[in-house]
Amino acid sequence: MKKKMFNFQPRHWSIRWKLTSMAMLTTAVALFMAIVGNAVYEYVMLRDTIRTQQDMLCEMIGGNSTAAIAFNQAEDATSILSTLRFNSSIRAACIYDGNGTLLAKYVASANELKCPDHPKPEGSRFSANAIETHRTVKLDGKPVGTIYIRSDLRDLYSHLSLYAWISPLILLAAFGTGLLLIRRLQRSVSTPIVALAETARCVSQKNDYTLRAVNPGDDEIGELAEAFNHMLDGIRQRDELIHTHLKELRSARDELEARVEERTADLKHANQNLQAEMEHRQEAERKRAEMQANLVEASRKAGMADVATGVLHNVGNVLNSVNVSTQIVHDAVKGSHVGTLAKAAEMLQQHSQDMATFLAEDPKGKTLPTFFGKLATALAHEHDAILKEIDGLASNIGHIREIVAMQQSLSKVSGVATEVSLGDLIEDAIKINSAGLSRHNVTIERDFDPKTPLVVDRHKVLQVLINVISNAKYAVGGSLERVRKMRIKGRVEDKMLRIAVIDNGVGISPEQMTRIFAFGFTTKKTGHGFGLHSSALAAKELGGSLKAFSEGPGKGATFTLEIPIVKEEAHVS
Amino acid sequence: MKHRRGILLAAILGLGALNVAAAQTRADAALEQQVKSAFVLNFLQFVDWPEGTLGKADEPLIVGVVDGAGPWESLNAALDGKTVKGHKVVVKRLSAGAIGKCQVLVTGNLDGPDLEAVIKSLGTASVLTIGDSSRFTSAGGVIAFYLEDQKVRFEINLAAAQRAQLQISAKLLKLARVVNK
Repeated sequence: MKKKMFNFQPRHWSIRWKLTSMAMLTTAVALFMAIVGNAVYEYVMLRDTIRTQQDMLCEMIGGNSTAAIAFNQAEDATSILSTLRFNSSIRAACIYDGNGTLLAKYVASANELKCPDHPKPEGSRFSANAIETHRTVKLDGKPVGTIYIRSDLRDLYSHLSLYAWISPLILLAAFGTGLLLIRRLQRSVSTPIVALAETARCVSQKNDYTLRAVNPGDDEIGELAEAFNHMLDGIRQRDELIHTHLKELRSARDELEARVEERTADLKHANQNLQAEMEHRQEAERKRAEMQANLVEASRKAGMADVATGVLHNVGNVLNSVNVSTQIVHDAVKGSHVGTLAKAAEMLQQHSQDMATFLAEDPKGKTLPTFFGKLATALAHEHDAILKEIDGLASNIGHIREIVAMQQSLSKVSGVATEVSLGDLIEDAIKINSAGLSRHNVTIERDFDPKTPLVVDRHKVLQVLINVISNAKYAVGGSLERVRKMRIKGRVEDKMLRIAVIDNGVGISPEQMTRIFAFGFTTKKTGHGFGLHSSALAAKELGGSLKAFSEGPGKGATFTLEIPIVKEEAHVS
Repeated sequence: MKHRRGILLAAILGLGALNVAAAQTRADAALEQQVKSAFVLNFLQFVDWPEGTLGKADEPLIVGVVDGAGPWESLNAALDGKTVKGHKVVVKRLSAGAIGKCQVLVTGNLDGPDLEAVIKSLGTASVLTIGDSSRFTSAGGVIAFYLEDQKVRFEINLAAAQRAQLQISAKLLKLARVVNK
């Protein structure tokens, strides 16, 4: 059956209907089987009876006709057969002699089938609507002939048809009675179950666990009802427990929520503070960066000014010499004996007609050769002096060019290691500071091998050295020492270049020492606190360091630049 | 042997089924004789001898044929060697003057004083007498053949049978013309 056909599916039926249908089905099946069985039994028994009757008839006819057969007396045999007419179900009867030849026959009606031409072996055979019996007739134990009788089965069929009519009536009657009985009897089973189901439905619909099923008795349904009630008790108890727990949980949750809110507020506050702090710090950072940028810019400008000052100072010094030389040349040319030569020449022109006379006779003329000799000596002397001054001038102008070229080379962008000798490197640094050094009358003691070859970032090293020498210059300048001196020591050891600038200047106090490389620290009136800071950074960029050492104020100081030259050497080789 | 005899019997019975009239029209006396021989064998089956007459099982049932009774070859062929009621049938030719021990006596064409003498000689002995004579029963014989509508019929003398203490089956009587002489 399909699931949609709700009514036909027994599992959807009510208990009452199930019980009824079960009982009725059982009754119907049992009755049906009984009826069918009985019909089969009746049929078999009737057939048996008919067969027996037929056998008896054959036996009787056979006995009666033995002599007739033996003596071949057809009339007698026929007359014996004619007695069969009283039995309406016999349709035909025949007697055969020992050879199977028909001796006598009887037929119930003219349209009846004829006797078979030859008898068959002894026995009864049922066909659809007839029974045929052959019976051998014996005389003194020997077969002498055969009796054949054919009967229709009208008795059998009439009996069966009667049965077929009565059976449904019996079935109906039994079914009706059964229905009445089961309707009454099934109540004892279905009513308690239906009641229990009703209670369960009420409980589930109303969610009322206080309802209880009525116990119908001590059978299984009673046990079920009891178990159900017990279960309801359990559910109710659990319900109450859950209710209590739920209440506790709810209050705990509320408390937790309050705490969380409180905590959240705290955190929010803290967060706000943090935010403000951060903004504050960012602002400070920004300001600091701005300041630094400003400072860097200022120091760059200042540095440029320093460089410019140095250049101008140096150039100015040279220009003094140039100026002096120029004055000397000017004076020399101004006081030249060229005018006297011109007067002598004029004199000679006037006496061009009588040159010989004039030179020989005139007193003035007579002095002229001597005069020319002396003049030549004076002019030669003058020429030498001027030439010497012009040489000095050229040298000074070359110096100026050199200074300018140095400045240009320093301002080149670097970062690339170049080949340079230790002497050139240190001399360049000194040369930049030469004006200041000579002004402060500082003696420089050179303690290095100028020919030591190096491959370094010249600009960065120079930047550090210039700065350190400049600082030393100021340190010794401010010192009370009578002899202002500075020692520059350069060594290459263990693939490290170390250049130490040692002065006998003002020295560094321990508290200054801690901040000496810090940005913005300065002791100079016009300082920016940028020089050492940037020098230290440059040293670090070179992969080395810049260290300061001082025994204390007034005891001088030593700045040591230490950078590796490993890579550079490898590069060079 | 047995098989051949069966065929022979069947042939005889089959011939018996034929119309006797047809046999007569063909004037075949031999056929009539054969039918009668078959009848004789049948008679033996429907007649009960008094106890002890037939003797023990291994004793033969003697069918005697009186000299001058006519052709008896067919009778010999029909009966000799057959078994009736557990006894072997033996056909014997007997002299009319000295009828020895027998259970059946066929007199055949014997008639007149000879017949009467023979029957008389038997007395009340349990001997089934069979004959062709029209006066056979009157002479005291038990079963006599006669022709009716050209068919072989027989007459039974019930009184003679009772005298000889022979029980004749009702079935046989039903077929016969019964007389009491």
